[in-house]
Amino acid sequence: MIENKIIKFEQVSKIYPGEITALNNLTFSVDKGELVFLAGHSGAGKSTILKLIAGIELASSGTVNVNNINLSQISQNHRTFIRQHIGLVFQDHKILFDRDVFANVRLALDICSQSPTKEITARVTRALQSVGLEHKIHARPEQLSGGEQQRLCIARAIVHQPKILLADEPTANLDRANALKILELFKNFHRAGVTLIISAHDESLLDDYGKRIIRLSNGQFRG
Amino acid sequence: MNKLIHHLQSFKQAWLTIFKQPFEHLINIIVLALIITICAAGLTLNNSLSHWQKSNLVYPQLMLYLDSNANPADINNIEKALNKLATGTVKNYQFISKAQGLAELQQDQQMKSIASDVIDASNNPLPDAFVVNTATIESQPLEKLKIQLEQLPMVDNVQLDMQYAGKVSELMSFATSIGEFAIILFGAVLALVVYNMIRLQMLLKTDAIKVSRLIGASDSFIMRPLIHYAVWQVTLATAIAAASLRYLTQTLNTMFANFSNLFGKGFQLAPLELYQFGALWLALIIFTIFTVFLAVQWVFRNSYSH
Repeated sequence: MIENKIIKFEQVSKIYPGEITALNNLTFSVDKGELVFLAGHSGAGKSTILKLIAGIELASSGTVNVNNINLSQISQNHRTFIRQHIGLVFQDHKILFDRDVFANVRLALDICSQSPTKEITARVTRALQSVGLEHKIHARPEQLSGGEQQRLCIARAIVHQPKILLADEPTANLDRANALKILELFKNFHRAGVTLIISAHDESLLDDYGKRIIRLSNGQFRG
Repeated sequence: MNKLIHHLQSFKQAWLTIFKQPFEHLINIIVLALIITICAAGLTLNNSLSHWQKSNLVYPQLMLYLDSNANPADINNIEKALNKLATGTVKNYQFISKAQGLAELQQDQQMKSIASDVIDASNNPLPDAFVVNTATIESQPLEKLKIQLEQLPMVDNVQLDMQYAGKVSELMSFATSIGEFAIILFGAVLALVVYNMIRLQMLLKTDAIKVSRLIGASDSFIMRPLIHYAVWQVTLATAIAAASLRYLTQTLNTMFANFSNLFGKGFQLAPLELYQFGALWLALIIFTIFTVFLAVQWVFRNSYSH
């Protein structure tokens, strides 16, 4: 039987230095092409789950499998390589202010793909079009609004066409209208077959989508 | 192909970084050039000493005196033994028979009267002798050669001015050591300067490196622009060092030439050939890449765990 689970957590706990328990014995899985929301208050463990999937952190106990690879059993270099197949959207955008919009998006392609220069330009342009920023291609990041910066971050996350897209509080710093626009973008990517895991603390934004919501509180499932 | 594109980007990025803050980088390059000049000066000194040694240095001579009863067969045996040693410490030798010795003595202006009044061919007290020209100034092999020659049959006495040989040997090895010490010491200084330069660059680019790592950049992807940055600075510094050293060598050689006019034979610095500077540059580049690698690994271990 073909395994349809792209992400599997089995009895995963994460304890940070200082005995701070971020996750406590969590077991869940995500199917290929599924859209899952992680909901919960600040400190509930949403970001830790995303960091564990991306291999940025390692589980203190239990196993995290991504694409049938146990992330605890591979080297740090291999985990870095796996991140090339994952798109990451950060709450604080992590945009580089020493380069323009084009170069920010291009960075992901330079790292992740073997594209020739012509194709790079076309793919960056397409990514920016899909988030509605094609007219700002040569703008500096400081000239962008908060919502535009978040969309730039999304463009960088999708430009190399990852199979999995992880978004950590992508709507946290946006007003409701902009937040809905961002979520609509993610819905489009989901329709294209990308597996999406989105964390958000504002559950009212998520209820209308009719998708699975994993609710967390103090590192455990809630509700 | 992709790697080539990345290298071209890194090349462009390195020069942009240098041109954006030219003054700051000029200081860097001058410091590197000074260090490389001192390293290259050490090499030039060793090179020049070796040249000077070959063309000017008088190697010690050994005087080998035969027993007064030595016959032509004994002389033949000694010649055979010297021929065996000829490729090592012995450069060449010359046999001086007792008759030849007397003739030379009688021709000497100061010794002429004594030699002709007291000595003639029938009561010639001089021994047959060999003048052995050595091919080294090192005292240990010379001492060994002296012992070997003394052990040959019918050899009465072997004379060697060991004190002269020892002094020259010590002087040459001292000068060579100074050159080598300068190369090692300033090589280490160069490594530290490059190491610190890369560490500072990584600190300046902390955000870009952190984001790149999060997106999945490999160590080599992050290292590549830093290698270009260091390599091009070291290349510029080597070029400046080559020009400075050439000027310095010419100036010093003019001074040495003036001294030569006053004191006879003189010393000239032998400037490094273009291929020697090329080899030095290549060695510096390999050294720089290795240092960048160490610096990046150190910063990764201490600052970027994921």
